[in-house]
Amino acid sequence: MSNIKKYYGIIIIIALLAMPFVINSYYWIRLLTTMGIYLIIAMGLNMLLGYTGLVSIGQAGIFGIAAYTAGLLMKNAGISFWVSFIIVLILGAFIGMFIGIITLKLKQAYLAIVTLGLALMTQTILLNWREVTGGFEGLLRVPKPTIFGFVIKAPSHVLFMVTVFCIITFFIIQNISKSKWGRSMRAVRDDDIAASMMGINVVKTKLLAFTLSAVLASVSGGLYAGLYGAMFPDYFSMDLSVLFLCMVVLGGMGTVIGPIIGALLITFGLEALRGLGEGQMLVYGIFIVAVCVLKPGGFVEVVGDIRNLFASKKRREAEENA
Amino acid sequence: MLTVIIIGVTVGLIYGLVAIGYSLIWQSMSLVHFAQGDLLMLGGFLAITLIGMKISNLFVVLLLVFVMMALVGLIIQRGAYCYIPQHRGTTRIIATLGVGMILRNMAVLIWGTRARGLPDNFFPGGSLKFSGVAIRPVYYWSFFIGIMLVVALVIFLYRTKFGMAMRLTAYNYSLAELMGINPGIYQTLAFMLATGITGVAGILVSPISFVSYRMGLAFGVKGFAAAIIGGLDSLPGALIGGITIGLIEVFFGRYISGYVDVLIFGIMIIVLIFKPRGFFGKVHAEKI
Repeated sequence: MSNIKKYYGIIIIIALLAMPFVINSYYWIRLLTTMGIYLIIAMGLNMLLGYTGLVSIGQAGIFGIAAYTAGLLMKNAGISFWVSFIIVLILGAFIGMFIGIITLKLKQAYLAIVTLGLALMTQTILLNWREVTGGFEGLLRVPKPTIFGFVIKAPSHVLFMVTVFCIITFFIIQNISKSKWGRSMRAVRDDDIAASMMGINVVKTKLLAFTLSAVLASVSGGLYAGLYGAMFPDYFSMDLSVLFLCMVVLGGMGTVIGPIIGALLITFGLEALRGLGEGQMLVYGIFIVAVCVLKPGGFVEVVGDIRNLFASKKRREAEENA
Repeated sequence: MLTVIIIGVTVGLIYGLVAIGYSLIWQSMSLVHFAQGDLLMLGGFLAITLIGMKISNLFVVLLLVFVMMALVGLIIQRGAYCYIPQHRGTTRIIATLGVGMILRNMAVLIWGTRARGLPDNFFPGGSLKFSGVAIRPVYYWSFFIGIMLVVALVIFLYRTKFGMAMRLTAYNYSLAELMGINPGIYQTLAFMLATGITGVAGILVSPISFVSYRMGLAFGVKGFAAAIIGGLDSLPGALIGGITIGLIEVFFGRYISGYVDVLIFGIMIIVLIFKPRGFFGKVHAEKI
């Protein structure tokens, strides 16, 4: 048993990488691709919200800026996907640092409102700056990315690429959460004054969290521009930011696995409710409020409960046998 | 020019009422209620339904909407918010966003996606002539009702025992308990008052802008901007902030139509960064 347990990680990675080529329904591939792109942002937001305790309702804004920048660079300037991808990542790092610097003193609801305001400003500009962004008609026909002359176009290849980025992000997040930086972030979240007394550089830690989450949102933006090839300002709305926030909070913030549970739950939950038509979002809203009221720590708690249930059952059985 | 000022002040009063809602909820529960704009929308739709039911007296409609919205507030506060512990800040924010989503989609299911307006003759009386400018009854009634609401609120909060108990609960939860006040009840009452006022603001908005399920976001965020400029813990500040936002919107809206929202959010962010307590807010020492 213990021998197999060692290889769980590798088995899961191989399964994930094989997934795009096994599933042959276009619909499911599209759904999983979208989920993967959202998941990268949610994992980044988790660094900010779950580990450092800073709320942002503006991730869709950064996502939008990154997607439009990458799209415009590729379409109008004729720069290749990978170069524009790197430019977008650098831009994302600067945006994150900028937001971090201007909001250093703000916490909780105030921070939430500033990030929301910045995201709404971004959306308004994307909508109104017609000469560059194309306004509400959107930015269309962005060229597809290539790797060594191989054009990534087929849905399964697109999903493969997103999966690779998700796995890389997961390992980066996992390593950071276990490193000195991860511990500093948690210390800042729990009590920033005590953390600064312990010699942790609070400003640096907060800025790192902002930068990291913005870079990951830009990764998604760059991927979105290249792989989907079309974008509209309406898409980068407040609802999308709220969706990312829900993925993190409902999944369980401050845990590596939380955003993944949240992303799976919300993506497949919303699909399952699709039959309700206009009632879909109503049930979704009720679900969000219900989770907030019943499990304020997120769905991770449910997983813990189930594990405890089984553990106590085993213990009980062991006691009966003895 | 005069017309512009009148429209600006009227729109601003509505933002001010929304801001007062934010302020009441913030003071009593230290919660930023992101569903505020959706409550405004609900108030507008309720008024339209009441008028559809042949209740056409302005004051009866105002009173009924106020009572119904207060009941909605009771359901929301006792059904959801009071169960989420205070220290789960982010979960509480998500819960308010979820409530907003429920209200919005309920409105779609009940009233559909079409934008609607109140009938023109809902506000009685004729146009006032004022130095050559005709002021439609909508505007002076909105202005009058807005001012009356604020005066009533101030009298209620500062001159009645009930309002004093509410203010004490807002000021210090455990002190209120020591004074023999049940703070939970007063938190709920403050919340109901806030939702009621926001609902009435929803009626006043409907002649100026159409009522649709999507209107919540714009009014909610601008109302919040007003509350921030005035200071979240100051009621007169909220009103002044609202009128400032309304005037800015109407003045600059003519020159930079699409970007006026960017300007308002920009002002809000700058105020938040440099003066997070607003211009009329009290300065508190940070609790360590």
